[in-house]
Amino acid sequence: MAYTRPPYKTFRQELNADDWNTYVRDNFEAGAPAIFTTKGDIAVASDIETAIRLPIGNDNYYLRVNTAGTAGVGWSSFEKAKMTRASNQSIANATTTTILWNSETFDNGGLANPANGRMTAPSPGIFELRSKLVILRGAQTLAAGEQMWLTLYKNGGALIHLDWYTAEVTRDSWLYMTLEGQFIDRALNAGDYYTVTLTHYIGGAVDVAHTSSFFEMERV
Amino acid sequence: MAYLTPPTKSDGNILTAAEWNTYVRQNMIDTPPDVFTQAGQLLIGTGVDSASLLAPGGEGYFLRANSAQALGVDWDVFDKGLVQFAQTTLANSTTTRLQMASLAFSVGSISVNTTNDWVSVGRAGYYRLGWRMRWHRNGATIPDAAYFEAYLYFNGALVSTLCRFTSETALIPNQWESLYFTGHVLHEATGAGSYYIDVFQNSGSTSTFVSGDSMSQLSVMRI
Repeated sequence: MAYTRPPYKTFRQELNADDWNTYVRDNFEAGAPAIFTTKGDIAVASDIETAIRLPIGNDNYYLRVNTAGTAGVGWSSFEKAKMTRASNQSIANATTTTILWNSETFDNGGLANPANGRMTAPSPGIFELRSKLVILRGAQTLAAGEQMWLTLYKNGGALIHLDWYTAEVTRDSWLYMTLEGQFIDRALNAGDYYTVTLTHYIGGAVDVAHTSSFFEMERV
Repeated sequence: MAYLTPPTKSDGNILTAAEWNTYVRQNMIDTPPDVFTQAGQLLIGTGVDSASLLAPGGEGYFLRANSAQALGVDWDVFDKGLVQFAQTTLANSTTTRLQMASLAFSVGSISVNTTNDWVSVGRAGYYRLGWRMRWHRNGATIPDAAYFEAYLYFNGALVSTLCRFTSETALIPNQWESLYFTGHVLHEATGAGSYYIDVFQNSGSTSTFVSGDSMSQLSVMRI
């Protein structure tokens, strides 16, 4: 039922049944609160002199401008997710290896996939990604000049190195060390996905520890 | 808000004074903009043909869906606070709670307890914690394989190992005065609770965790 602006009446011009039904009854019915049906409904303009009912969103969703929708605003959450390793992951020497994050700590918004270790943008937007790798030395000695680096990938292509370590001297006392970093990226399309890799040249395999290693993504 | 649907009229029907007063006058009084009394109010549905006013929220608050509320929505803020640490003496080979001095600022339900040295969040949610810590050797000689570690806890449960530094004799560790450790982590707090940081160092002597505005801080932000 649409709103129709009432006509201007002149002196002694009658108000007939059509006037009443169109300009009083229907106009009231086209606005708030007549268009409400449920707790939390909000009336929002959808065009000139046109209001629609915006149904309540999911709990902890926030009202946000969204020009793609009819109402121009919509309920959405700031999606966030975190994955870790359920066990240590061995990384071979001189081999760029994708970290298979296989344990989901939380996933608010459907970002995380512990089956393949990917974080995926559910819709376009700007996201912050963070990762920390706790690398166990095991039996390896880190010789001067040997390196390891943590890289963030987007849709299968290297996006940025989050951290890079080069040993200046032979190091044989460490039990573990961490590589970590963060980056903000714009996902242009729903389905854009992110992974992290570890590359090292230490001479033998090392483990990425399941304790305190993580991969996080959040909409910002 | 007692809105009443106006009746349908046919040719020849009379509009009575009672109908005018009920379906035109009173309906207008009970609907926007007549119903508004101050800036920032929102009209929110409460059921079929019914609505109530939501009072203006606090500065910087966001409209949030919240089915526990009578209107189904409320104004919400992203709690945030910045903890300043106090200078803390770290005895050798002893797990030590980092001392918290104050909150530089806070919004929402963030508070600090300087007796127990924890920062509390007043409700469940997802929190991003960022830390910057400065460890000072106080001129002591740091032996090979000595290390410094820090751990973040929530309600007594380990959230994450924040850092670990291991010295190497070949790195000439006694040339440095301080080490900085920084990082971030996301955590889901399933309810109100408290975060704190424990550190451990086995350099062979007492060292110091340094305080100061630009030295050692912990940020807590609900996201």
